[in-house]
Amino acid sequence: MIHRILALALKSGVATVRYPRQPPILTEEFRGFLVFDPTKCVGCGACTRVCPANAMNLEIRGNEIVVEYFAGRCILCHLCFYACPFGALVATTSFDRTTTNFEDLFDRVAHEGAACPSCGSIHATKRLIQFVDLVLKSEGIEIEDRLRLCPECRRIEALRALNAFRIGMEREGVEHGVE
Amino acid sequence: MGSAARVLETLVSSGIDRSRIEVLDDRTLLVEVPRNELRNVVATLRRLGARPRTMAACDDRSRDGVYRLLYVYAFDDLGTTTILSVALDPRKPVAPTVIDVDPALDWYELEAWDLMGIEFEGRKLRRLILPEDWPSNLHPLRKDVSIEEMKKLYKPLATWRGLEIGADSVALIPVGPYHPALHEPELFVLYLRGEKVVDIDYLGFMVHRGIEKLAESMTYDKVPFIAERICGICGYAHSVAYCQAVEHALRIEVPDRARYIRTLLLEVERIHSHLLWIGVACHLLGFDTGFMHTWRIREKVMVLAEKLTGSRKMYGINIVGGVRMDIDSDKLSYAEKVIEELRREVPRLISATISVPQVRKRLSGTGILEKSDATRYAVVGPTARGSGVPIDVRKDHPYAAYGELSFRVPTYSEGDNMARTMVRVEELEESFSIVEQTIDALRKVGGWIANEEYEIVPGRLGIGSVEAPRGEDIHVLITDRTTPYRWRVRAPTYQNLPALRAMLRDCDLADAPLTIASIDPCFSCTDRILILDLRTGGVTIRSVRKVVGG
Repeated sequence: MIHRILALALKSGVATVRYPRQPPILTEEFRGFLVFDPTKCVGCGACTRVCPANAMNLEIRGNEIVVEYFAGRCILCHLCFYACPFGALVATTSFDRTTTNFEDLFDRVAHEGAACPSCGSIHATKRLIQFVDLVLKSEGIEIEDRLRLCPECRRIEALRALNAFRIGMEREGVEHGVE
Repeated sequence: MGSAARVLETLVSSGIDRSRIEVLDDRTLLVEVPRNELRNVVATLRRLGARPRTMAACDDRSRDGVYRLLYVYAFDDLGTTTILSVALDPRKPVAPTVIDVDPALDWYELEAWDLMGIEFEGRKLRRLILPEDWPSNLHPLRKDVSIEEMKKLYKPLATWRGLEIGADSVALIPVGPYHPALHEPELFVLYLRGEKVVDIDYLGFMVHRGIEKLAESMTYDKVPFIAERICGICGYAHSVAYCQAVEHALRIEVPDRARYIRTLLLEVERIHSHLLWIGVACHLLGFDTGFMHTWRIREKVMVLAEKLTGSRKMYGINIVGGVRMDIDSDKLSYAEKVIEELRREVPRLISATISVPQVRKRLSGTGILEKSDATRYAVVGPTARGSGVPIDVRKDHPYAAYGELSFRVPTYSEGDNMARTMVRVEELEESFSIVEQTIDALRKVGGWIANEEYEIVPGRLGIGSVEAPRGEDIHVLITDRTTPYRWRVRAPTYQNLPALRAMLRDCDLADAPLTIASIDPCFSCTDRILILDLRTGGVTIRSVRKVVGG
């Protein structure tokens, strides 16, 4: 027994590294924690929709819209990394979240919110709206005032327009004697 | 239409009404069984040689106004699954017990009572999973019980204790997992006469996490990630089983390349898991050098997995319809290199660990599970194959790419710890060969890695089964529009643990830890489903409070 084990031990040598004094054994494929690239993020919230662990959140705080990444919940699946249309999430190979400060576990990007011209509520980031404008312009679509409204006001506006249209139709129908 | 037709014939000739049998596909039959005939049908199936795989209790009141029990049986030699569906009264669901005709279903009935509130006539019911301070008549898997409601109604005893000492909040930390075998939260109570074990009680389900209930509020593509976290060792098998259940239910065709990638990773997982087990077995024998060397070699497999998927253990690359990351030729060459190294290193390791006389002596002739007991308890995986029951989902119910690969299913008939060990050692060799075959195939098979164009149809039933390193993982899934309607997970340890009673009888106390470990138990996967803290089981009650002397 001893001689077999000894032969094995001598042949294999030292297998471990002195982490944390030495760098850990990691391949470059390792999916580590993520950080935001604030210059690229527009605050669209695509990452918050795909995250299976609810580590990504989009929150309205005052006049700002904050995209928040909480490493404490992150399961390192990188779904957000692949979902981000702007490449605003940077994948690292870091895995160590040991800290004495809870705040270290968060990464946030704060965006200036766009206020609805009708009710004044914050509903999207200015950057997202700028981006949508750009896309629409490049497609040659004219930007109507209604597009600036928050979803709630837009719905009301649309219903109002529909109603006006319907009443108009009815009046027309009456004039022409059609039921 | 081969095997299903044959089973259909057999069932009809055994007296089951043809009009009640529905052929779901060429491998699956659904039999509508009236409540009062259930016992007869179960007895007939067992007599015909069917193996119980799982039983799922469903709250179908919102779908067709009843509670339903789905008993899933397999004819392994024909590769066919037969599902018995029993409808129960929506106001007072009572079913006849079948444990006298099929003892393997003991826990399933207790679980159905505990989580779904289904009564079983003719047996004693007790809590299996939920803590002793859980409100009675609050059955968490019922559709009218919301997670919010449970949070409101469940006040753990620790809350009062916390109030007594004037704390704002309490954190419960169970100090010391009760581990005779693995460092996991379980408790075995052994009854001894002298040095010999007479009987055994298992108290578990301490880390029940509510995954099944939680998945009912998660979209289909998010569940594979939580499924993978059912087990920390063979999680990928669970994630594949879940995806296969959805794919079966929704008839989704998985691209060839994805099937091969899944097969490759499942075998990589098996290699690491079996090496882990050999290491743990050495550790339990007090042979820690063997443990260290086994894990040194296993580390190469972990790095390989990281290279292939981006993560050492939580591969996280499964989605419904395929996989989400491809494996390029560089990575395949790397995998080939690692397998080559393992082919050299593993035999050397075995000769220095398992084959030394001291270890052989401890393993041989201890913890014997007779073939008759193995069939009675319907054990799975290496535990079954060590007792001469040649079942392997990869061969009997082929999934992923296993139908196109050639491999052997090692089987031993001794039924002792040595037999179970040798099954695993030989399976390592087979896994090396399967990995090599899939590498070759992946170099040739091109195409998509996922089929994402599928339609979700509510109310479909799907079965997904995978031969995990510990045995068969089987997931039963019923679909709903955006989320699973019911998802029932059965991990292999759930099936193997009750057989320990037979294995430990008349065994020396000193051999008990190794015998318990010889089924390669995984308590967390067994516990799967619900909330936080303290636990009960049977007669004895242990709580954290008592353990820390409160």
